[in-house]
Amino acid sequence: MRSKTARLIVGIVAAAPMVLPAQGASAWIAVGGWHPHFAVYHPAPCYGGVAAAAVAGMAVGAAIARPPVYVAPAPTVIVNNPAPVVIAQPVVGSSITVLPAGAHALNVNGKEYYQAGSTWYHPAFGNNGVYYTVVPAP
Amino acid sequence: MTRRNTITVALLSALAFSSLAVWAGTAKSGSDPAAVKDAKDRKDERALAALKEMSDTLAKAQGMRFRADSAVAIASPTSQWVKVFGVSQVTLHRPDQLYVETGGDMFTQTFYYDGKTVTMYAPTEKLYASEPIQRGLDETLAQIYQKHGTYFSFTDVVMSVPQQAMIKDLTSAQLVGESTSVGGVTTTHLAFAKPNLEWEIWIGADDHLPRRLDVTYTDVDGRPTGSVTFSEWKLNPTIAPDRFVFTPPEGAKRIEFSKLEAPAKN
Repeated sequence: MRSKTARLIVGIVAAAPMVLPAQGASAWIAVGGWHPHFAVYHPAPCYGGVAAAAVAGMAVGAAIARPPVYVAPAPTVIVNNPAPVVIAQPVVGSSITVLPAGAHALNVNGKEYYQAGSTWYHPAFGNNGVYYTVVPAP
Repeated sequence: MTRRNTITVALLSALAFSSLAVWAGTAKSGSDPAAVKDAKDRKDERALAALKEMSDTLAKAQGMRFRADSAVAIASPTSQWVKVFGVSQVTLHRPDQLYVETGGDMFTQTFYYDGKTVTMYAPTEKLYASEPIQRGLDETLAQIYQKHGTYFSFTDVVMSVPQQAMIKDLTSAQLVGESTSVGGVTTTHLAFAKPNLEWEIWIGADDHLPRRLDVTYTDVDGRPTGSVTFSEWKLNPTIAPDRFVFTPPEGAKRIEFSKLEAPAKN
């Protein structure tokens, strides 16, 4: 999974909290209907492309560094995305579902962070998975 | 395709591929609009009874173990609904203990609730978040959904009275027929509708356990669907006493739960 991730995906940055705009449909009846603000499933890292793109696609300033590719055993499905827009520095407050290559863990004042280059990420469990939110250097 | 056509096609399929098609009077050839309206509002007592039997069976089991294969629709960047499949192994001990291992194509994680504390653990990342919630399982599941967005496709099945939320606001209930094509057993196929939701369920004819649940969101563009199939059922299994208690593995790091926020507040 990890190697796939590194090879295929992702540098998806959403300039809005990840929990908001993505939509999903599960089979849970008790929830009583459609709740786009909540109903998102965080897929496995090798799915980071589509799902996170679903988040990014609705966000202002979303940037997709590389078109995500979903590789199933067979057949291969390629998800075409709008032309990528690359931004130099991830925006504070934006979130990703897969850390960039080379990010390393650091504990600062009892809290967990990840650092990649000059960018710091704060991990949190939400929407069925771990998200990493860009924060100012602690 | 009109509802009538849909029903007719479905009925023909059922006749062609199944030994039995029980669809009480739906496939009449007449086209009286009043009859169609009546048909839409109909609640077949047999369907409600079969659902209640399932609900009672699940509610009275002190514990259960099952596998749930979920298909969740996610909006792709082109707005096409694409399906992501997940596999969950579920262990429930009533009234308020739940253990879920989720993997497949969904984020790999383990959920613990021992009646006092909710923990979610990501074994690949070795990260976990814990939070005390002591409100019973139904309320706890509702709360983690509202606070963190975490939910399971099979939640309906583990509620203390499974049918309670399922029959709320029903506009129709139908007994579609008897299927031999779901879960390797004979099942009773039911179809229900609510104002914004249409759903179907296949219930084991002998053991009254759910085998498949399909949901269509009728008030959303593209009418996305979700489904979950249930298998490997075991009622009242032997469960290790510490199954529901999370003990952080060596090297695991504790993080926080994210909080859902409204867009305007950012």
